[in-house]
Amino acid sequence: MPPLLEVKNLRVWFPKERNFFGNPRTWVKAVDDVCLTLRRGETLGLVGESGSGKTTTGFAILRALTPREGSILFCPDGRKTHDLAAMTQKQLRPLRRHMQMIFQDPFSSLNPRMTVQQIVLEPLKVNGEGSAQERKDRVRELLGEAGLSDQFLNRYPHAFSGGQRQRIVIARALALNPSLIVCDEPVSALDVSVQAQILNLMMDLKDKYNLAYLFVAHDLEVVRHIADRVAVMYAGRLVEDGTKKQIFDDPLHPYTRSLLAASPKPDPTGRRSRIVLHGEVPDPSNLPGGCVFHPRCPRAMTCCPEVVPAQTLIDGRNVRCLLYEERYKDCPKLQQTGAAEGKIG
Amino acid sequence: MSETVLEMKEVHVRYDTDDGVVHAVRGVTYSVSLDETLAIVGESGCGKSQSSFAAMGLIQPPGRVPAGEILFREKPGADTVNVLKFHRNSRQMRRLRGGKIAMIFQEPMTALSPVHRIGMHLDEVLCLHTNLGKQERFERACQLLTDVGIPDAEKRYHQYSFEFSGGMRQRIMIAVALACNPRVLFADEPTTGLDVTIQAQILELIKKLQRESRMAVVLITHDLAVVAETADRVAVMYLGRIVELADVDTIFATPKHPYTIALMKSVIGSPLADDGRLQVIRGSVPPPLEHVPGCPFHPRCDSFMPGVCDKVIPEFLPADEKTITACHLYSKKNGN
Repeated sequence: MPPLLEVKNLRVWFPKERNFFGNPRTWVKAVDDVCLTLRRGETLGLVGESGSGKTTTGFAILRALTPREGSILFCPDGRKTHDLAAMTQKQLRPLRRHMQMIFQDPFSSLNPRMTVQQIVLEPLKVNGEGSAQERKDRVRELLGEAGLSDQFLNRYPHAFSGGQRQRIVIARALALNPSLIVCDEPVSALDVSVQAQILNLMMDLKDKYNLAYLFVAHDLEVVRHIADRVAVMYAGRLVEDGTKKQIFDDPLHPYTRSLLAASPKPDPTGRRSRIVLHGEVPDPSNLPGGCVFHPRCPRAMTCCPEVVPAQTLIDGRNVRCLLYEERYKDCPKLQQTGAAEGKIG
Repeated sequence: MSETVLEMKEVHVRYDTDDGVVHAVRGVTYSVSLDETLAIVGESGCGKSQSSFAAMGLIQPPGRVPAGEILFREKPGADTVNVLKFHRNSRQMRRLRGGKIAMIFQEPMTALSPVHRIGMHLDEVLCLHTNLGKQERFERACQLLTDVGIPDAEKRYHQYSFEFSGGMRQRIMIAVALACNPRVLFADEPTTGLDVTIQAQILELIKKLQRESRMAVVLITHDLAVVAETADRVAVMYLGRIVELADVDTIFATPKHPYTIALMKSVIGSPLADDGRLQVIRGSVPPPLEHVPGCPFHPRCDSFMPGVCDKVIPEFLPADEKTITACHLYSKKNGN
């Protein structure tokens, strides 16, 4: 059976400047050459700093954005595979019910003029599910699943706290029994104790309905908790992907290592020396040549500014770094100032 | 142990609104010494920012500070002054605020003026609190920008805040706060909204500057991971009260108050959290206008004792030699 979702060489570029004839002259390369696979019932955590293109990747997979290149193979029923990248919006409509989204900010993703009932009912209505009464019963059932009592049916979103709103968003996303849910930072706007409630809810629903999540987040601890596999992005490129254990216990790419080292742990006994990365994520319209990470990389080599690293398969995981490529791995170290250095935390 | 710089005693903050009284801070007591980092942790709306605004004289009507003392020692060995005695617009308060008591505000995007150059923010502080001339102020400002890790300071001095990234804006906020070598620095969520690599840079920077210029830091945050990495002592707040105060190792290893225990268990990766399902705290924080009798946490507490917890407000007392907590489980009179 083909995987639920297979993204191949996805590129999302936005035109920045145009020439006299209106053709793009320079591009903002938000997502460049990204390959991902997501199996049924699996959670793939997509992590990276802001501006690394993780949200754009999620939007492109749902075709909220049109990719410039690449294919998005989606197979909701296990039989027929559709290439979402090549379809028109009209052709996509019947497939939309299989893919849903949970947004980051529950304060702006609910229409303030609609009641909870109307919000959760809307996807059912649009897709012509059941009779009016069946739809209403389904809304009650969905709110129950999301942990909200049905006395809230006729309330408006402003009457709810952030955590409750996120539950409404989840109920809406579940309405049509999707097989894929793209979650864009679903808990980053919530307090810790509420975060735990929403994460538990999402994990329960995943087991119950065999959902696949593409879980976009910048919080590594959250991803460590919920994901089965993890993909790390930097400046629009995928730098490493593998199982959760591989990425967290034995990261290979220097960026993954520094990202993990920078992420604080809620355990004071674990205070240790950490690698502090200097500098910031580069401007996506003016990326450095070769490996995009080389100006900040603590292990950069002389070949890094010239050669774009290819995908290397090591123990079932993909890494894009010249350190692991046979041809380049013995290059001399690049002398640069301002790159990361070890520090006592 | 170094000398205490700032001491809060039973500080209250309340807002009398048309809809009712919001009692944002209900008796907060803590002290912080030189070279020490005290973290104040709590969920949104627990009054952690409000208590520090009181020390800065930033509570504006309809808000007021009806009771309490905030004792501040301006120079080593000097007597303490009660900051709350000064009116927020008085000469004494204006001299302290931004000078000896400084604050890094949350969201550097909104805290910096979009229509003034970055240099103006620094120049204003230096102009108000020092006797330096124009050229000296410019030099000092550039030095500060360099200290907080902004390259090319003389050019950056003339730029606007929108020309800087989030991390760089936070560095500017730090430079403004540190311009006059404060004795106490309140850092209100200094790294919320920043990426982890930038967060690590900013926390390192605050630590480095604290070592160099000797000050007390009060770190206000909801992120327990940041607390574990940076704090010396931790105060946990719930609904306007400190419920537990202990040093960082003790509070993470053996929390006493049921709220702290529940909070630790709900944080992924903390020593008390399980790997599978996360523990959650029942219910939610009551709305600000609601009054909870007795212990504020009793409606959500697993160790709720009827007749005690919902009647009597627990006192803030030592539970053992390391921890001070406000919970009936540990007070001798009602001992379990």
